[in-house]
Amino acid sequence: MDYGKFIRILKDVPFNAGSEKRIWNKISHTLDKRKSNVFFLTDIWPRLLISTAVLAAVFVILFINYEKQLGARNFVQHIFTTEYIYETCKYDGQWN
Amino acid sequence: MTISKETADAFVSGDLKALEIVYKETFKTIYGLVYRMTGNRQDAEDITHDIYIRVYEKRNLYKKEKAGLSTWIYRIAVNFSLNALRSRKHWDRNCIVENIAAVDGLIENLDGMELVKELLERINPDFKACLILRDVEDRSYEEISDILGISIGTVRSRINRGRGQLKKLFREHSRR
Repeated sequence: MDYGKFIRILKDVPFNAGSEKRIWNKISHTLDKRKSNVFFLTDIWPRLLISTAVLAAVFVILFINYEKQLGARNFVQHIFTTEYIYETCKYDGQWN
Repeated sequence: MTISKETADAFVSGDLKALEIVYKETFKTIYGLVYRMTGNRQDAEDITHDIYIRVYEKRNLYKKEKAGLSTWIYRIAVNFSLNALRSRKHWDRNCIVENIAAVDGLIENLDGMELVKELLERINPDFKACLILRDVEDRSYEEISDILGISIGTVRSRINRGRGQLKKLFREHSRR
C-alpha cells in the first residue's frame, strides 16, 4: 500500500444506494416527531423558564415554613409592612 | 451541487419539501465525506442524519450573502464529523469488519479497504479532515481554510503532518 493507492481507495468509496432513502426516512421521522412534541420539550428557553419557576416555588415554600416557625400569623402581610422593612433594614450601628 | 435561490429561500423558511430537494442535491457529497471520515457505514449514516437535522434546525443562521447553501451545509458536515470523531475515544474494530462485510461486492479490493479503514482510524482527525478535503475531494487550500475556519498555513501544516503520519503507518504495515 502506498499513498496513491490509499487515496484511490478512498475516492472509490462504496456508495450504497439504499442509504439515501433510509437516512431520509429517518430524518423525516425525527422531524415529524419533534414537530408533534409540545414545544417546551424541545426548546431550551421554555425548559429554563419552567426550571426557574419550580425553583422559585421551592424557595417560597421554604420561606413560608421559615416564617411560620418564627410565629408570624400572616407572612405576606408581615413581609410587606413598613414595620417589618424598617425593623429588618434599620441601621443602628450594625445591620440587623 | 446546485441549489436554486427559490429552494434555498423555501428551505430557510422551514419548508420540508425544500429540505428534501436540498438533501437529494447534497446527499452524495455529504455522505461520501462522512463515510471517508469515519470509515464506517453505520456511523456515516447516523452522522449524516444528525447533520441534516442540525442543518434544518439552524437554517435561520444561514446567510446567503456569505456562501451558497451547499457550501454552508458542507461546512457544517465537516465540522460535525470532526467533532464526532474527536468525541469518540476508540473505534470498535468488530463493527468496522462487519461493515466491510456488509458492502461486500461493492469493493473490489477488500484487503485494501480494510487497511485503509485501519489507517484512517489511526490518523489524527484534524489531519484526516485536511487530507480528505485536499487529496480526495481536490479542494484548494483556500477552500479548506474557509471550510474549517483555520488559516492556510495551518491547513498546509496539517496536510504535511497527516501525510507524514500516513507514511509512517505504511512503513509500519509493510514491516509486519
